[in-house]
Amino acid sequence: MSVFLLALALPAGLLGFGNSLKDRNIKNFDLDDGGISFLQGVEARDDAATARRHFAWAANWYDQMWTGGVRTDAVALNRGRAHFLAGNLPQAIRAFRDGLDLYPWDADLQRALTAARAPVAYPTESDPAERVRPDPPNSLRHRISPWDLFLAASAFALVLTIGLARRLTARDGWATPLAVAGLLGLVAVAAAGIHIATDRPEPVLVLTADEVLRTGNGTAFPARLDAPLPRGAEVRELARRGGWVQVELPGGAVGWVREPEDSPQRHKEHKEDIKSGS
Amino acid sequence: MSRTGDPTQPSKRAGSVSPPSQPTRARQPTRGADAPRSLCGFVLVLILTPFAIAQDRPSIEQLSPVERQTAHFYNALATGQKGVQVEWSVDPPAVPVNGELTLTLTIRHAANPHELVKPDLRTLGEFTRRFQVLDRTDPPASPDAAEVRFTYGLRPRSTGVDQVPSLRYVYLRKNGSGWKPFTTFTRSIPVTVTAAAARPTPAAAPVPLDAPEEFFTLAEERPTVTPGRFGWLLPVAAVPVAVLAWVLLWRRLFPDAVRLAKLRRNRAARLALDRLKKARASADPAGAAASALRGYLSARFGIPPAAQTPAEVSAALRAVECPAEKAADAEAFLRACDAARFTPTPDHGLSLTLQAESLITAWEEVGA
Repeated sequence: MSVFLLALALPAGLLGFGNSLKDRNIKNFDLDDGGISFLQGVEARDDAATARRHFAWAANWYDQMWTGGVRTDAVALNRGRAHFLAGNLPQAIRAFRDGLDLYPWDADLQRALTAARAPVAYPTESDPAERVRPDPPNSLRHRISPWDLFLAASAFALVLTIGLARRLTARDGWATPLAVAGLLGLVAVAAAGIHIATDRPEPVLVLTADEVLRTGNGTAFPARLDAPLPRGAEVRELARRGGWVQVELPGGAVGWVREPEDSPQRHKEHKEDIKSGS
Repeated sequence: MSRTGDPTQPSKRAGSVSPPSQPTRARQPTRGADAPRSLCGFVLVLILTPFAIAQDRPSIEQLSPVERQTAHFYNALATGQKGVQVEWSVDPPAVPVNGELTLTLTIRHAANPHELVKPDLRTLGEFTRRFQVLDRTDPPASPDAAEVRFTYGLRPRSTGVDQVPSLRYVYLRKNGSGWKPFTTFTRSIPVTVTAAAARPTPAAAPVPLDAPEEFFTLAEERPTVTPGRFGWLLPVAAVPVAVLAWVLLWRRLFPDAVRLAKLRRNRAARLALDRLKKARASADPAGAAASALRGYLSARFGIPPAAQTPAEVSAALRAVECPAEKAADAEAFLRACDAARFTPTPDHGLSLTLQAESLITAWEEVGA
């Protein structure tokens, strides 16, 4: 009976309190334009040059959608795939990461990010702190979806309900332990939910070109590693100063790299360099 | 271009050249032919004139071996006052770096045009540094040719080539009984060498795009519904509601069970009912049911524990002023239990436990 009641109550609660990202954001956009270019690229996949043009156009379209607020998992996936197929590896990794920031549990995005990282020429580290290869997406937020949490909470709530109901009616001997188990389960689910909610993604910089990791914010400082950081490497951004970004490698080593070319600060510094004649 | 050897400005050596003698020598036989007036004489003159001219035309055969080996001397002999004139001409004036232009050397006023040799530009560093010299064949010049043309095929080596350099051309002019060398130059000619025209490369074979196969799949939009902020509270909020509904429904559907639940609030009844429940799973349900009932009667009505048989229990109940009906029912139940214990029945006494629950329920309701 309790199951029946919950079965009636859950859809009502979801309709009343749930949020549909699709209905909220996609209403002002036409998905066909980017999709058509993507499919044209797929049709022309036997000719890489032609296909890349189509995929580049599709990637541009999905970029506009993403920046325009249409941030669904499908848009993130198509955006990253289009960038990858257009030959823009760093942008593809960036797109997949953007998607995983919002949908960390999405298995398709996780697989796509892993596949996009495959072509990156990560150097072989001699010191674990110098590891450049990023960790795979396997943290708790990547493993548990909101629906998983919700279903777990519902299951433990059902256990608690049955335990309490039997305790108050038939007074079965197992009713009280069952209710306690349900209550503990709810507490555990709540703790997991709080942990996931507070585990926010850190700002990550995806290198658009091979960059030398230096010990300071200038070319006068020596290189931190023997090999440059490869194009597509993902490093945690710590600070910015004078056209340089202080980053932390996945292994823990900290250093400085030049800001990416598309960075506004980088453009400003470049203009100043030109004015000063340096 | 003005050079020291230019015929229009002869050098000091050129200035000492004697007047040409060829026309004078050529006219001598003609003048000598005026004397005879006869037709035979005229015909004879006509026949002998070419031989006389040929005999008077300067030839390199008249040069000594030393004179022939003069540097930049290409067998050109001059007899006139002008001397030999040389000139470059280029067609086209602008070529790509890998193109080819035609360079023509025109030689005028040479007394022996048929003997002139073609200057070999491949031996001149100024040319070979700038051009790749290609072979061209020129028709032989006739002895009476007013000018001689030699053509060359030139292919610029780089876009830095901006001119065809001048050519040093030495000729010999009659000077009395000997020959004197004179030097003249061609004017350098500017040329324009453009970058090599992009050769249309053959269309490369298309290369298929290499990527994981799943990347070629367009992900379709799917309804992305996630539990909302308040949706998380739904399972928790549903618990008391569900429990309340459960209890209410249970009471409606199972009124006897409700009464049993009330009885459980009475300690004596609760203990008796629990024992009856356990009695169903025991090896001797009838004995356990009888024991549970006796325990209930002892706790509820205060009969002595020593009262064990049905008659003793009945007597004890009467002693405590229990209604006779209860005493009779209890005695009958205990006898039934004894009968079930010592005379096994198909239900193994399970019905007795239910009967005991009914007795206790009835007695408690009456009591209440």
